[in-house]
Amino acid sequence: MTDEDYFESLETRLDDVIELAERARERGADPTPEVEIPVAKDLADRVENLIGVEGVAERIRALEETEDSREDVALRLAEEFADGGFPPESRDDKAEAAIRTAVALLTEGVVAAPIEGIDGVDLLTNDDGSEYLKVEYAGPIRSAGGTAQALSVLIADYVGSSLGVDAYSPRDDEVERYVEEINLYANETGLQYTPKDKETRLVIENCPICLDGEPTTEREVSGYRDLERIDTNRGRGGMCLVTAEGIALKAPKIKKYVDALDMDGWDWIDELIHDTSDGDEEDDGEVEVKPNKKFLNDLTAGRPIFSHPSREGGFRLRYARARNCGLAASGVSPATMVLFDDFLAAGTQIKTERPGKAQGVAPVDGIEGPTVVLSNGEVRRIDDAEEARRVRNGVERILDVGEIAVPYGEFLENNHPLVPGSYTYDWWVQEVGETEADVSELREAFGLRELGARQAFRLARKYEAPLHPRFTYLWHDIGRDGYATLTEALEQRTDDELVFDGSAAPVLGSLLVPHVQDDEVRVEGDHAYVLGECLDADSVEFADNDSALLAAREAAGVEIRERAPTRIGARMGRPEKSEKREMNPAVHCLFPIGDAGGSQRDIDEAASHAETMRDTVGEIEVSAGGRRCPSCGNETYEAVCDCGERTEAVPRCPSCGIEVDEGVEECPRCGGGTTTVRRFDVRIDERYRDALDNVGERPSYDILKCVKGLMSERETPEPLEKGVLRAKHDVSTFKDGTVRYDMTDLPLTAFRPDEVGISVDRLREMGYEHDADGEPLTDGEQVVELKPQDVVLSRDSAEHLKRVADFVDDLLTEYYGVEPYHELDGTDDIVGELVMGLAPHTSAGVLGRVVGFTDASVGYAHPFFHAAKRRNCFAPDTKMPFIDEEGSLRHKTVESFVEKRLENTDEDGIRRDDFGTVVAGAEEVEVPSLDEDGEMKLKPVEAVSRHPAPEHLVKITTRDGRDIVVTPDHEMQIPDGSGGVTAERASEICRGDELMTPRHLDTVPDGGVSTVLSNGFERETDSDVEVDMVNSVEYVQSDTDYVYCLTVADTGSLVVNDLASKQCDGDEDCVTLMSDALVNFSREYLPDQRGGQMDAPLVMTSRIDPTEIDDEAHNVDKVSRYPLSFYEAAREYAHPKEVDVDIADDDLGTDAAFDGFGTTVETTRIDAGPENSAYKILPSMDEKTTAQLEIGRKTRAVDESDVAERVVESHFLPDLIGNLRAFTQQEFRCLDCNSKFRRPPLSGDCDCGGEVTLTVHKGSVKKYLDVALETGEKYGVSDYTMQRLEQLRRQIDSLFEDDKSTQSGIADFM
Amino acid sequence: MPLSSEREVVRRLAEEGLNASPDAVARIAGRADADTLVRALVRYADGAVVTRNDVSEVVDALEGNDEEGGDDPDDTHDTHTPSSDDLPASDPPDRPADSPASDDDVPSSPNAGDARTDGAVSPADVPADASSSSDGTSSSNVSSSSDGTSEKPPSSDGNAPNPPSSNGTEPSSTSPDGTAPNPTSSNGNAPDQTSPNGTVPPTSDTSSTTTHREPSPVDVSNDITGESTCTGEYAEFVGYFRDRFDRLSKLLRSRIQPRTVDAVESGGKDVALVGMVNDVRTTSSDRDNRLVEIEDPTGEIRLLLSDELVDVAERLVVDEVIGVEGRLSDDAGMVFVNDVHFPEVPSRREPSTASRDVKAVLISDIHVGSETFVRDRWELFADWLGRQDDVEYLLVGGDMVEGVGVYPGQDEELTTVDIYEQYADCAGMFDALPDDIQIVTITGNHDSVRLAEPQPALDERFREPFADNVSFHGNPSVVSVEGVDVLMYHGMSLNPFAESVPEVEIESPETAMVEMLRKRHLAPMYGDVRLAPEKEDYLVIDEPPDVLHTGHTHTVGAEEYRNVLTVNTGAWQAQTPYQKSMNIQPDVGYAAVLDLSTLELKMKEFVP
Repeated sequence: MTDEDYFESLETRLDDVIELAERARERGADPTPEVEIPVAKDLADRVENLIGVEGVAERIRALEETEDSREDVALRLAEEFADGGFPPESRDDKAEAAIRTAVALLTEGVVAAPIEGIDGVDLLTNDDGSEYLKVEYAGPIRSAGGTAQALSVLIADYVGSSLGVDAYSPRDDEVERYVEEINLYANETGLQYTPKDKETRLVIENCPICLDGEPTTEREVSGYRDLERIDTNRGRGGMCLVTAEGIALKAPKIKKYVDALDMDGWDWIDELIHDTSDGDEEDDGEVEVKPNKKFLNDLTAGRPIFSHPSREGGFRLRYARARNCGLAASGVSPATMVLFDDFLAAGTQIKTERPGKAQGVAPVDGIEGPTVVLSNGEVRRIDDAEEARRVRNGVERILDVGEIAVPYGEFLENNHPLVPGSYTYDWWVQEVGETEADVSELREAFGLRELGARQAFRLARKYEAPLHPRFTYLWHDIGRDGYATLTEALEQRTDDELVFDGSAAPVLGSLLVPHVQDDEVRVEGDHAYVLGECLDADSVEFADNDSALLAAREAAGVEIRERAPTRIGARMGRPEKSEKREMNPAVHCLFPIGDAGGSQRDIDEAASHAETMRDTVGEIEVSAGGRRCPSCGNETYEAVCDCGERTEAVPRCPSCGIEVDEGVEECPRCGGGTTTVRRFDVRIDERYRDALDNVGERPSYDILKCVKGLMSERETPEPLEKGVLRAKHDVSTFKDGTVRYDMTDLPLTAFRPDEVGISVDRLREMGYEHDADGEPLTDGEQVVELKPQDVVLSRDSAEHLKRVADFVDDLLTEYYGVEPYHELDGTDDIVGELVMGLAPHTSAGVLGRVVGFTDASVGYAHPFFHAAKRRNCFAPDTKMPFIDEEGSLRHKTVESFVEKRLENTDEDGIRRDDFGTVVAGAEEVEVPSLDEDGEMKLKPVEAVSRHPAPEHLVKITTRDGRDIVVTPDHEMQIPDGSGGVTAERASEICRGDELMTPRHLDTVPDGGVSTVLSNGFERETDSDVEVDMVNSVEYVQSDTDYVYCLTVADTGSLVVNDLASKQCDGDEDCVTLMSDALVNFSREYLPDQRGGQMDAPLVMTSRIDPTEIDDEAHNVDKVSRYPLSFYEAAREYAHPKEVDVDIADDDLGTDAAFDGFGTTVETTRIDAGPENSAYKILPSMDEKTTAQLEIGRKTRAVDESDVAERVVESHFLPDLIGNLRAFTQQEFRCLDCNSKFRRPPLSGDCDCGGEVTLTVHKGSVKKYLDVALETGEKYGVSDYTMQRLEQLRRQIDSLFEDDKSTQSGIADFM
Repeated sequence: MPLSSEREVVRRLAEEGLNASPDAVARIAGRADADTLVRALVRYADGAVVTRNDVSEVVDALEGNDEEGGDDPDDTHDTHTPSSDDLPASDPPDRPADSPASDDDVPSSPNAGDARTDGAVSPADVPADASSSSDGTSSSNVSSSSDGTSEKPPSSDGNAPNPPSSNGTEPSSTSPDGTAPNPTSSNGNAPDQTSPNGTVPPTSDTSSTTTHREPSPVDVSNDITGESTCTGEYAEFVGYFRDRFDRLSKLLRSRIQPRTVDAVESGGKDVALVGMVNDVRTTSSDRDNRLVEIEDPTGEIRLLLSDELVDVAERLVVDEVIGVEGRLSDDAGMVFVNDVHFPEVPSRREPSTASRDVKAVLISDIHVGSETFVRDRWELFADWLGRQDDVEYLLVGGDMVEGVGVYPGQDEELTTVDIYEQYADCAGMFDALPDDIQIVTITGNHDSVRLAEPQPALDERFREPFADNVSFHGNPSVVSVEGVDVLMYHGMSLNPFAESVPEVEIESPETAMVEMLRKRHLAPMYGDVRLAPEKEDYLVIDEPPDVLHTGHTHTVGAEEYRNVLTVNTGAWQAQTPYQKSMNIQPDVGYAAVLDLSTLELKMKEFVP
């Protein structure tokens, strides 16, 4: 089957589903009678769909034929817009459409930037009467990336020139205002690049386009205020981004286009390039790869450090890619995963020292595992997960954590200089090949991979080749003294045994020579021979300053390579994820029932509801979009009238009551806004009964949950029948009517049928005819290349999708009256079904097909598939350098950033925060939910990915005054109601929820000096969890700050990190069953607010074009063996671009684009190792912390006192400080009526007569005191930290101990 | 009860620190509402002498009010004797009955009946010794002008000439007679078990080697050290605020006769209330109107302050105690306020002064251990101090050291990361000062004590390196030097004041300090300041001091307000990175030199 056949087969199937869905929708009462997800085959389609200007796609395709680059296409298109080639009539509309189109094109058509990042374009008048163009940028422009931002300005100018508009001439005070504003923004939010003042002046004075936009910062400028032409005194985030990260940072790119297009008025850009390049040159200086501890920042309690930076015993860098590596996933031995007490599992994110900030962990058993000291004194390497499990309890120390397989492409993607890699067979055999030796002959003779010791020496001596890697020890780690120790400790040497005295043990451990240690130390077998040869000290004289490696070489008389010259530090990031996405409470139907449904939005409750005795039971008042039947005139909220006719929306002026025509936004009488939304009295009991009848159901489920109100502009409800069937099948809907399941992404380029639970026959039916070597597929153990849109899902998700399929089938037959589609017998039948993948914050789904299941809690798919889901917002060179540094919880910029976002509230968001997805229930809703099972709190968001800028954020304000602003899908930790902790999407947190706010440290003004404001926790009475009540949940307008979207999963709960790391930073994308998406999705349901259209399949890609996806996937290795020149270049710290290694990029546009992904290391099973990280399994934070410290204690590469220091610093201290502070500023609460008091009533009691009590108790303040002091003492934290702890203890005593009673107590004893 | 005679009128006026011209007295005594008149005059008079003119104006104003109000002026208010304390029968007990600590343990419990006699908390076992403190030798020539010698002279606007006064009672200058020098005055053994309260020994009494300095014992009161009873119970919070309410409402009751909130029944009547402010908001309709909610132990009620009172309204902060007079709305749900009363400092009060020529130097915020501590300036100061023969006291308003863990990442800005070494360094610096100067310190937010106010004195473990001439006290404390009462408060409420009150600027900390005096409270805003719920509210200013000394803001400012000298003494820490980022310019290297005999203040700057 060719690639074309494959894509066509998918599209054919897709067409079938669409056809069925269309037929179904015609017959139902959905908001529209047709399928609402347009299928875009290519970028051109997507752009057209996003921009909504007809004919654009056609022109793009045509221009792509003639133009060299996408940028050129964008510019040409802009020109055509200006020339009137497209519909918009007015000049500013033309400019706007042109700019949006260009940005859409430049951002692969999958981000929100063109829609929500550009607010508008205006034609205005300069002081001299000439005309100029003003572009208003909004925060989400960040997701476009710097280049597209910069080019959007160029395009604006290009269009402007075509329209005959002059350049903007700023007034002097306006220039200074920009300078001040950009500094303010950089200070408050942070910029990837902050232009110097003179650069800003240069840009603003010369840029022909006026850059403007909505205010986003909390703070106001102090100097240049109240300017006539600038509407706000706050910082305009979009403008700042475009100026700083666009024009200033990307000046060279602008220059390129200015030159190519021969544009006037941009000469100044040369000066800017000159200015900005000063700083860059320093970076291009000589390469030096030093230990880098940035990845340790923000160490979270309970997440272990696996290796300190570049430390002996840490991960040994091995250049290799297994079939599940690449795209920010690196291979770790399953044995390593197990020996780290299961803290690592497939998909667990680790923060690494290099090459990138974070990597997903992929189980790879073809690399070396950890070397451990067992309690019986044996030191051995363990490569196998089973063996690791057997010996785990006997492991006393992990001398070496094993190799980490990092593909070359990761260095390329991260623009990190190559560093020397482990000496491996692949490398060695190529070196042998360079000698006189005939490698194939030798291989025949000896089986080179597993060469014996004597043969290895003979070969090395005969051909002057390096010693085989198997016998290459880590001489570089022991030093001259270590070598001397060994020679002196050697007591007895035979050919197959060396006996040392005990002093040799640590040295042998460092060398990673297997041995047994008790009273004496013995090395046996081949290793005894090799080591003996290398220690033949008598034969040679050494200079004092020779290294151990030189000594060994001299003694052995052969070349010995450095075995593991580069170690990579790593710690745990967030755990892997695989779970259904639910709103809170889970919603079965987007049907409004107001407060009548109680906190659970239970339709049964609503159906038996009566406000007063006089009211009719079951009659409720709801808000919904008003519609009218054109034939019978019936007024309703339903999309289809009882008579069967489709109804039409009826907009009115809410104050005058006048009806207006559809689309008229202003009332002709009063000029006010019009809306279709009105109140309806609904007999919900009858409607519910009808719904049950309509689908032939009796309620066989516990509960059917609806929503309080709708958040969409026209408040169009879903047909209630859908809710009945969802409840029946125990699935719940997302805000857009679809059912979602989230999984951590891991890449996969090949699989074995057996490991994903699919039969060879089934696989052949699906078009897999050959294995990776081109042999016919006959055996389940053969390795098969994964087709680019096929996915391997976690078993849980398959089960979930099966329920969705059943729901869809029921819906098709019972509600729509068409034939069923799936007809699945069991979960396994999900194989072959179509799904849609969607990444957070994007608006474009990708067609996929299920090809199997895995026990790992991840979604495996082709790198192209994952990349296709992402918007391409960050080219490698725009990755935030400051982020590594400043993602730190302790980083002030980040903290103040979060802190200051808080006021930016959208009033509408507040009022309507009861809609399902955004803010699910009413005040008292107890949040059920997901997986986080820690006992409590404190999950600073540790990995904040810079996904596409979210257009809206959720601001949560807690009772004790803490605020947090996060992306809606960022998860907060909340109590699960049974003493545990779970996670909930911020969008679904609502007032009254108890939030486990991760504490964070903030610097706030306090009398001219800083003081610690730490947001600690409160303790609710009788609860073991520490919580803080949510006071308000509000949607806040997009701020550029928030473009740092916090997609941290279940673990992160507090957003403090302004971390902009790679977008692939542990992505968790969701899948939806295609049939479900097609049948049930409607834009009509999407919340009517900025960002509402995020995370929704506004368009779908049916066929992946690898040239149109995030270019990160272009950096996936395709080679099967790295050439010798590569290894040697790595030893010279070459830049990855300087070496020639085949990657995906090389085959783009060729027939080979989709296959031929070779691997440089094997792995047996893609789900090897633990299924889930222990982090998710361990029930309490105490246990996690204990385990974290224990891993630190037993791992040689980990400095346990540093772990303790960091845990104390990041976990205990903020908790103690925060709670102490919270206690002394706390609010009070009535136990009866739950009223809150800022201070206690003077009477002592609540008006209601109830008892008033503390909200922060002594117990929660003291909770961690003892364990913190104990940890500090046991693991030896610094004096400074210890003094801080002791000081806190004294403060706590001072606050909670009665001086008088203490004294009398002592007196009593004396 | 109307005042029956001129004599009575004179007595009443004198109680309020006022003199009056004979014709004014006659005029007042002739009126039926003399009592009301006196109270009004107290508020009105801005000079020391009430003239007939004053009386006329006040009478006009009162009558005007009456006409507006339309009610009989002779209502129940005037039937009460103003000074009687037993007015509201429903006055709550001072402490909740369930207060955890036994009353017996508290030596200075607030007296229910009167403003506290003297909060001096002295350990009972300290032998009572004759103190040489000035007992009411009221110097009649207190012209406390404050002219700075530095480029930042403190503002001084309260230079009202002090007329010869027939002062009857003078509130605060009475001798702290119960106190005594610390028994360890014979230097050497540090007082281990003794309470840190109490007095500081004159250091040179035995050998008086060098100079003529003979500092009097310093009497310290209102110091929480060793007296902290809170254990973190809810009832303690209630008791704390009740204590604040009771003590401050007493001050107000000399001027209005409030009803309790629950006694306000029907609408339409004039009413007077005393309450603690719960909330201040602008009304939605008119931004100059303020909606205020106040509370007393019987309930809460809303007040509407019209735009005429906007100046007053803008000064209101939460949790202060105010008195209001106004008219009840028809539904009795709201009071339309005519007048707002702050507890205030009496308009005429005589400051106490030392009976001899002696000076004290006031500083704060040394921040030893910080890399921005200005050691060079300090050394200039030390040199200078060594040359001053008449300076016998050094008062340090908190933040002796930079501390540890005060803000995140602080260790990177420390030269001395060990807190013990920081204090040892500080002790060394003090040692280099003349050893016959008494050094009196309180704690601040950088010191190693609890941050919740009141803060106790520095823990014993840190005192070891300090010599005997240094004494350690809580924040706040009232320090009486040579009869001059100095209320020392570190000043953590200054920032919240600046945020709450538009007129208050952190660059001019004295503006906030004046508010403290008016409100008779150092840090009313609960939630903005950290509170330890002690039995008593140590932040209430029971007696107006002669000097109010703060620090914390690192800005210098001074002002005289109703004969109380306020001074904030800046810092010995140069601009920190944080201050730089906030564009805060600290005043660095200042010392306030206070002439205790004249209460004349000079700011001296030390510039290398």
